[in-house]
Amino acid sequence: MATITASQQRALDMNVITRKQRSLWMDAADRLRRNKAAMAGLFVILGFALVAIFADLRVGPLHIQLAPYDPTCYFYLNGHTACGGDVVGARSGPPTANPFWGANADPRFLLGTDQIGRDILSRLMFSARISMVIGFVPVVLYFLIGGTIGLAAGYYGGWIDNLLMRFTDIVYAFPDLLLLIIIMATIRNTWIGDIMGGLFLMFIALSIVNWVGMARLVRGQVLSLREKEFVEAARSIGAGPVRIMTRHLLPNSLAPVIVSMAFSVPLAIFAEASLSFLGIGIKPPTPSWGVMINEGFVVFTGTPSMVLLPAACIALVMLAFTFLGDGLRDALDPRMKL
Amino acid sequence: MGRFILRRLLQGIPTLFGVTLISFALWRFSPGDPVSRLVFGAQNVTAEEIAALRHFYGLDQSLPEQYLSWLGRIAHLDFGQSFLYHRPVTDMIMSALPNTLQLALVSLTIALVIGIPLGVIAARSRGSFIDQVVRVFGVAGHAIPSFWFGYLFILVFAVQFGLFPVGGMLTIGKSELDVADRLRHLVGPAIALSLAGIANYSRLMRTETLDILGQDFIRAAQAKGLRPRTVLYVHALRNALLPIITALGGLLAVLVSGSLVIEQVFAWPGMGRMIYEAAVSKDYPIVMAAVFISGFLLVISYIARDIAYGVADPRVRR
Repeated sequence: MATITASQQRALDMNVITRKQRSLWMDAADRLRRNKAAMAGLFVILGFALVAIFADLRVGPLHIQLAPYDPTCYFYLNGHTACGGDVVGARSGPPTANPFWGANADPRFLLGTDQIGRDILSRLMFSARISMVIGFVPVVLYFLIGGTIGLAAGYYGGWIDNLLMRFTDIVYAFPDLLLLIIIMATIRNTWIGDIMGGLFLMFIALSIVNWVGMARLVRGQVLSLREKEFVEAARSIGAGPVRIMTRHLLPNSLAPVIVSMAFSVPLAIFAEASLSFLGIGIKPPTPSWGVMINEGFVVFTGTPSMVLLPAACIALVMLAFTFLGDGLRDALDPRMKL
Repeated sequence: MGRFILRRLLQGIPTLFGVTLISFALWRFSPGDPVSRLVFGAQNVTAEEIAALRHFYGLDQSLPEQYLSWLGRIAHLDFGQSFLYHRPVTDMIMSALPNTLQLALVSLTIALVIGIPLGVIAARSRGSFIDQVVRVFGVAGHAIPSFWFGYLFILVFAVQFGLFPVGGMLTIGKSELDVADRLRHLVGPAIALSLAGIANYSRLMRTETLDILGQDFIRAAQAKGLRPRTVLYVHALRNALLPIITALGGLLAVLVSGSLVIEQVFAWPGMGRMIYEAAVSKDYPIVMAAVFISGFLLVISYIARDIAYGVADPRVRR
């Protein structure tokens, strides 16, 4: 028997017909569930996330290893194996084993190995980790930085707004990729660039470049909500600025913020891939799809699979996130029924 | 209108100063001393020579002095000497910029000429097969990285069938003025670059046209007995084109740096490649010039966009 809340009990006592209460978010979740493309996207993302987690997972005695090999180990033709470190002059020569559809395929390596004998399937699986992390962490940072600045600018207005918005204008005045490249290229070879194989610097660089959009979005939302009656009501019963901002303004502007965050995820993944492809992103030997494309570029005409496989992974993940973002937008904004 | 334009121009001034300040800071506060980098690996460099070099690049002055003298120099387009090539940066930009402009303008034209009609057609026959195709392409073309299209193009058309060159702008040994050869080199990067644009514009146009078609003034136009074609192409289209102006606002930045990845894939000798190589080899005069020029162009293009918006929609002027 389902529990009955006090208000529902009161309604029953008064013999009033009630409906099960439904929140806005439940409605949105229902609309999202009905969207086939968004659901397909969600499943693809879940699949990649599972591969990323279980590529090599050790929790206490438990050890699940989905990836057949260590992605940084070299398998030489004479049967020797070497692990760790980056081999000097590794970027030349044909792959040691082709994928299973190729001429000199090796049954041990389903998708073949690269020029220096590293298993491509394992590298693809470990790369999923980088892409998943780079998709989510910076987006949370955009929200924290941009959200705070946008809230403050929109709520206080006046000179604070002017100052903060002129500052966002300046950051906005640089092409994203150019600023990313300059930040990565100048700081990559310092100790900051070595933390987590370059991942940490990538978070910072992406956040510096991309919080602006979030700040503008939140500011716009706050400006349109600031004069509404419910904010006036909160103020009249003595709620302070911080409480109004975090408990009233932010929750009510959350729908477009969530949509914007969903669309930021594929862009962050793409930025990582582009930077790594250019050779100034994730540091080898840590595998990432962008790094793999960069390394496969030299032998592209001979063995295109080394470029096309990671590129296909990037495309698939970005497509999945974009479909999900589209679904979220349609679900959260019923007026945009298109 | 005059006051609106003036106010918008004045608002751009602090932003422009911010742009110059950041360009300068990126150079001066990046790790490593420029001169020690310059003489790195050279033997028999005396302390006097290093001091002379520091003086030559103005590094012996205080930071504000350096900033002001740099501002003074860029005011008459003197961006200094490249550390790596020992050539004036202005010359290098002047030789790379036309290549990037050529690629960007061609791909933009393709994107607009194909993208806008696709969006309108999809909106006109909403729910039809064409509409579905345009919708899926609108999402996919936007989400799939352009270098993936680039590589596929190279693989299929350049390697398998040998129809187009693998990269570059000209076949070595051919005349600079060989238009057919230039066009053959342009096809791959232009297509790879324009696909995302086609996807974006068709998606934008479709949403906007549908939005406009649902409004009251369209019903009024229909009720007046106007032909459906007149309603669509005269009344709806003009209003639906407005957001395209917004989308074009960020375009100048793309003209300068945005096609960077595609330039790298197709070995296209444009601005993007130059900036990338300069950033990696810490050739700061080029990096600063690039940052300043693209920032400057973006600020100008935002102002131009706002003015264009003000012309198109009088409500914005307030």
